[in-house]
Amino acid sequence: MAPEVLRVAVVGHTNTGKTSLLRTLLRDTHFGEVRDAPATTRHVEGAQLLVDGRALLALYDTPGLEDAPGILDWLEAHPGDRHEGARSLQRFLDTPEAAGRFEQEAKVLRQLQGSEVGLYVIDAREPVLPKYRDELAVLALCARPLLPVLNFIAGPGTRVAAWREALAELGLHTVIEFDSVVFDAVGERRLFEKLSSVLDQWRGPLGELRAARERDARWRREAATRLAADLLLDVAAAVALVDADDEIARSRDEAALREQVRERERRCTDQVIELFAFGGVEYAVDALPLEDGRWHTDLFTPEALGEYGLKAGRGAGVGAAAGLAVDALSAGLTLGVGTLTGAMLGALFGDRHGLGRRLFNRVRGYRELRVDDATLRLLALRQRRLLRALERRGHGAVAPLDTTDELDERWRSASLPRVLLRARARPEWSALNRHRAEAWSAPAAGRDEACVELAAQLGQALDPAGADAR
Amino acid sequence: MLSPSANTACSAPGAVTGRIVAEAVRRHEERAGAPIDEAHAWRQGHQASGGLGPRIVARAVATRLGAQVAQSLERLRGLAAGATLVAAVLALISGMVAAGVVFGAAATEARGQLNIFWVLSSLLGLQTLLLLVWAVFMGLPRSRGGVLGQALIGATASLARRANRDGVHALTVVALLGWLERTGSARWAAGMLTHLLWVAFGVGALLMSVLALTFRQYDFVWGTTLLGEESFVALVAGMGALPSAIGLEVPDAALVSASRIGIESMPAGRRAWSTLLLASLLVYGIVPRLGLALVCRWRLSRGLRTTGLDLQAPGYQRLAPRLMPVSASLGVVDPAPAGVKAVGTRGRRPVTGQGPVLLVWLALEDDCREPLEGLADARVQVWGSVDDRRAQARLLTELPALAPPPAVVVVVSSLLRTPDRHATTLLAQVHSATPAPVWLVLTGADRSGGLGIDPAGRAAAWEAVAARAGIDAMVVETAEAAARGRLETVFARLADEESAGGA
Repeated sequence: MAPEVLRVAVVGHTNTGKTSLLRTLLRDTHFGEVRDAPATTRHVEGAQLLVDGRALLALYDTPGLEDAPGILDWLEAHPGDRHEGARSLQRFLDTPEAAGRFEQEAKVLRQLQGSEVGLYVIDAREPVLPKYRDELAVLALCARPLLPVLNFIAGPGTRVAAWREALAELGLHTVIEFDSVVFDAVGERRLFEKLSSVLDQWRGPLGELRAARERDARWRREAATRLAADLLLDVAAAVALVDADDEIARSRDEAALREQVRERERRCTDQVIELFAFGGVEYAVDALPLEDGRWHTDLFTPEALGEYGLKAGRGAGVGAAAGLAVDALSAGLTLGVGTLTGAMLGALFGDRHGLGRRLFNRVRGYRELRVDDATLRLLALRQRRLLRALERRGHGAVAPLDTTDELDERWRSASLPRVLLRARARPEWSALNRHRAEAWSAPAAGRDEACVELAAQLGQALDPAGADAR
Repeated sequence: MLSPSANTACSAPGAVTGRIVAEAVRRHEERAGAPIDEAHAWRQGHQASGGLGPRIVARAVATRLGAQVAQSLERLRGLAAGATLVAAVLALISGMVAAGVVFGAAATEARGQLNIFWVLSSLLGLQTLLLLVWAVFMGLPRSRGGVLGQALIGATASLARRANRDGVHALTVVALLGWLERTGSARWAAGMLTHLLWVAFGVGALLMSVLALTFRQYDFVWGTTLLGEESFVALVAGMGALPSAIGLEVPDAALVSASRIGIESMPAGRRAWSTLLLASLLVYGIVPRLGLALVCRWRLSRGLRTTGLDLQAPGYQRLAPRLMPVSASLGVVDPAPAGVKAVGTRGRRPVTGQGPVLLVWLALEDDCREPLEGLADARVQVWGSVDDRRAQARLLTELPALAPPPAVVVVVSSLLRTPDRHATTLLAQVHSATPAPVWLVLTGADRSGGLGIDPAGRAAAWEAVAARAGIDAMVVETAEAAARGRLETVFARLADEESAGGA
């Protein structure tokens, strides 16, 4: 009778990262125990992969193989019939040795026999030693398809080529490269693809699993870009009234606005990270461009702009602090003509207290203080970078920041998306403009749609299709 | 009317309510910054079957806030129904007043003469014009679906919010309006209300007209300065086509001609004219609006029913791992062995033999071997690699037979390897096979950093292995060169001892 759930035994030498591989595939950082030491896992532990609550695949973490040469020695010392193949293994498993000296190995072999396929995890930093060939020889006696998984491939000093050659000599041509520590969604997809290539009858569930994983990743990305879009809308629409003549009050208001924006960025960053951390993939702290959830450089400094190839906006030229722009009476000088028309139209038709209040305030000597375009660009670029680091596309953790990214370039120099300019004229879109804990008011018309639209532009081409070399 | 769940009672009851509750809970959680943590609700969501959407709804409904929102929706429905009723009554009265004014004016100012086209355009003209405007605006992508309906929705919403500014009702209204917006149903809801109000207006006008025509006597006339008579005949025939198709008596051409102002009116024509008037109010005023109201209602309920939650919203995505985990543990299926199996070693005092130092290596990188091979001289016998089983077997058979026995057996391995049981066994066997001291030298510590290996941890693991295998000394060398240097001093010292012993 065919089992309902595909059973996969994860086997390999001791300390090659079998449990880590399971943790990553399961998105469960609490599965088993992981240490850089031999024989950390000494039992067989299982877990299922679920799609919408249905189990499609069961993974079994096994103890490391430590004494495969010993088993081969035993088999040579106790020869049975010739060509008995898998039966010789059974003979071995029935002996007292299998319960004694080789108990750990016997658990692995039994589990592999009870599974449809085995993933043979290899530490790709290791040289191809004879003991590994011995292991493959013993595992082959289980008569189950075996897929080698090259682990720890993200760092330098790996021997992927040597391993591939050695495995090919043993007739193992389908090799998976998957780093269990530096997660890569593409690598995971390939793992499932290769599994289905050797297990034709399980193609359906494996495809379903792959599709579900891709959907989840897509959803998470969409949610993250929405958080970033939300941030940008809040900041673009933020406006503070400053008294043009009172220098002290003005600098105080400027400082307050800047702090509000910093705080808003921090909150967004926290939420994005939370979204991914709950995804169950563990992140090394140094892999993210942050320290304790904060960016290395302050938002409102020329260094931060320079880091992303941006120049300070013209707002500074008319007397506002870095990162801010004063909307002077000659409205639009600092915000650009596009904003001007957008602002005027918005004031006339959208913002209920718009134009009248603005003119009134200007006449009374007040000016509107806003966050300038360069800072909006910087916020967008930073969020994109964070997202890329979180998604580990092209191993963002180790690769230097790619400043030639075409879409980043668009955020750097092309005009800002129209929806952001629209937000400029919509103070009611910004949560930063709510100075007190207000009651629930009617949802700001059009903001949700604007957020979705902007999110789509932020997420654009974060993963250029087929861009990875492997 | 605002609350849509009544419309969807035919399909999954409460499904739409559930989604609105989920929206309200999401908005609350997004503002609060953290999900509501109620164990019962998490459990309900986790146990719900199906995809993420149903699980989110199950959880939201199970939260305390969710229950309050559901209740509030119920109340809102009552409020909306009340508001709609009041508005409809007002519209009905307006219709009656409008018809009353038209008929009253005819009775007092025109001595019972009623200009049929004037009456019709008074009662149908404006709303037909507005209907056209509505139709044009519905063709636009961002239309809101009728001013009257919008106003009614807005009034109800603000009424509900005012009743409880900071609480659940306000949240519910926000969630509901947001949901109508998202599903694209707002325009249909507003359209439905707009049409319903016009239906009420039409009914009012019709009632008043029936009343006036029943108890008063009017002469129906028409007149024109610019147009010809045949235009009016054609107009009346056109207008009467529908009513006559359902068997009503409408004025014929002769009657139309006879009703022109200045011609002695035919008493027999009054009935036909009033039938045409009432039928026109019904057919061109009430019925189309009623039909459109039904269409809007159908679109509204369809939109509400078929649109699922916006699962990509950050507020929902962060619930996903808890509501719909991608994995479930099966637990330990084969428990760990009781303890680490002891390796058979025998305690013995090492005796330095008279032979050379025997150098073997285990699991070394290729580039580490050559320098070791270069150490071969009169005092050092390089045995070579013992990586494969054959070499191991040879060493273990030949080692006891070596004469004279070696001064020291030095096993060189690498810190980059994880020690395993096979290595332990091998070391123990080497130890048993010779009376000489067995030393373990570990190289490669200098490379460990680049590979992300913790040398201290590995050294500790090897230490344990060495202890279990009975190794006499273990040396960790940070660099290959140092290892070789150390080996050379060792060999020199051994040679000195040898010569001293010989002297």
